[in-house]
Amino acid sequence: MVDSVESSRPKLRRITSGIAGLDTILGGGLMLGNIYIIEGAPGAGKTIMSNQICFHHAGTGGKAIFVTLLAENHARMIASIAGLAFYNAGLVPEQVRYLSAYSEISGDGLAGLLTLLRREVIKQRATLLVIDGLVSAQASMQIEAHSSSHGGTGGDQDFKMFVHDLQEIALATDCTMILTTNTVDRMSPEQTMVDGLITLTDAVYGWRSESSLQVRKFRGSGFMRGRHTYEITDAGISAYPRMEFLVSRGVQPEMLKARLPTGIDDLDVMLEGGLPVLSTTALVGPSGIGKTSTGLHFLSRSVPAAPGLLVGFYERPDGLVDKADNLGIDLRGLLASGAVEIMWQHSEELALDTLGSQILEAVERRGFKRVFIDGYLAFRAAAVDEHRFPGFFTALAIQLQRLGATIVYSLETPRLYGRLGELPVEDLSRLSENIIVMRYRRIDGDTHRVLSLLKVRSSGYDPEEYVFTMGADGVGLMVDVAPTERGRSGPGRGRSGLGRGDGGRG
Amino acid sequence: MAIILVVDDEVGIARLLEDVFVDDGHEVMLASNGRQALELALTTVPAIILTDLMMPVMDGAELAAALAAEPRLAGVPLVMMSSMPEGVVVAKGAAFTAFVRKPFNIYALVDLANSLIVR
Repeated sequence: MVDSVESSRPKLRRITSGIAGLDTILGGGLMLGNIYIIEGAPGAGKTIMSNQICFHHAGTGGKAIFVTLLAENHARMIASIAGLAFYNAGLVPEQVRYLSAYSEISGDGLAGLLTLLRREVIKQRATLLVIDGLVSAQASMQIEAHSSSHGGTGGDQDFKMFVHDLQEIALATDCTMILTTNTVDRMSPEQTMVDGLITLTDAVYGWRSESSLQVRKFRGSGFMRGRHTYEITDAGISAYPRMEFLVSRGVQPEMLKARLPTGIDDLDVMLEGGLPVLSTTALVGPSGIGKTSTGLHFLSRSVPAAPGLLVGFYERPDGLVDKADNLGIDLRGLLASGAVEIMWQHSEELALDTLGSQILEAVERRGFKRVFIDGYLAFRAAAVDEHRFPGFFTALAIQLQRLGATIVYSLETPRLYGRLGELPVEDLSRLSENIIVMRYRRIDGDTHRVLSLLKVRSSGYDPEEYVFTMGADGVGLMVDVAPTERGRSGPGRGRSGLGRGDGGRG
Repeated sequence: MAIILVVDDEVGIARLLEDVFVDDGHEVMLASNGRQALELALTTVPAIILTDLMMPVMDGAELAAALAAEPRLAGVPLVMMSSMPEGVVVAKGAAFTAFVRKPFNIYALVDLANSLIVR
């Protein structure tokens, strides 16, 4: 025995796709030497996605060949992707090579195509091959099968052989291959043979549409099942792993005993020190009651080393600065120092997972310790399926907590006066570890704003309801409603009059 | 240019090797089991034989033994290809010139074959 090529190739090596989010969905990227199908309706983004993977691969030292099967003008296709951020003219043609196999497939059918692919992969030592327009190859195969004079066994069988031979080439050359095709309703033969199948879908919901991708098959490792949003922008394609799936994979956030001041001293007294760190708090109440103002107070305690983020859907940043001025909060100064950032969004044209991902990225980037989301219902408007939103929101909150953030969000109730009435959400307790209820109340013929705590995570709290005022002097001068009627006032100003919570058992 | 005998019951692998060696200017004979390979080799002595291990009728280890017993073929370099580790193949008592673990890298395999042909 003089030689040995004991395969030095470890199994299941991967190449990254370079598409944000997709590698996470795939558990780390595509497998080296495997064959994948990307299918979707015309316009879904198959060609952009496969080109983007080519340029990323070439940019990281690989060699890519992009083969078209239709009589397509490459200059035209390149022109259509040249405006996208991933395109790098310097990589063409040495690292990314465009070839047309139209004449081979129209002249010699699948056998001619296979010979061309094998020769080019080996000659170029390509490590990524894209075959764009597999449908054309299938059509050719059908023609071949019908006109074959050498006893072809039928279209599907010939195409299976083609895919089989392609698999041998992919495996022997460590060349990962991507076949793009239009979506078909049934599982086609090649879909059963390839190592992975990614379906791109663009669905219309009312006047809106949302693009989603689904990995329907992926050999060699686990992957994130179900649908995940993707979007096509000037940067190319970005995919957003479904928030609920992400959260299922991590550890639960710590239940810390430490407290975070709310920026409202009297409220901190009611909370026995402030909000539990790494918790989620709902500010529930009707329009105009002071939810945003309370959130601004929460953010006012932010400092550059422990910054705060305001995710706003209602009031524009300049309006928020004015509002804060009226509350005696120097939001302009907080913004200038970097202690607070505002992420203002118009939710109805953004996909839910895109918004969630942007918030998570911001928190990862800056390490925000306080996050105020204003508000829940506007955020929910980004969801094409409202039933999904509570689970999504809970998952987002957990992800933010894992990143070290304590979350406060506003939830508007429809009733202005009296009791809360029917809430616009089904399971408030699931969404919130702490609930602060704000409402209007008629007392002695006058309308007052009143505030109470409905629930606080793992803690005692003051369950009484207090009248509160809001102004440049802050929120305060609270009056215990019941004691007022009995002639007492203020949390912490007559401790004997404060009730006790049930320690978070509610 | 050399005559190369490729022995593999997996048609896709056999065809790939045939195409690659033909492109390199060699002549390739194909067999899908050891017995076919032996018959072909006795008719036309190849410059090298690349064989799979697990095949019907006559496997790669049996082919190796048959080649060693045939004076005209005993000196022909034999490359054993298998998805089994080399030690398992050796334990079967097969004698071969070189071993290639499947899935093989085509570039390394072609280099190996060419180096054995010129010896």
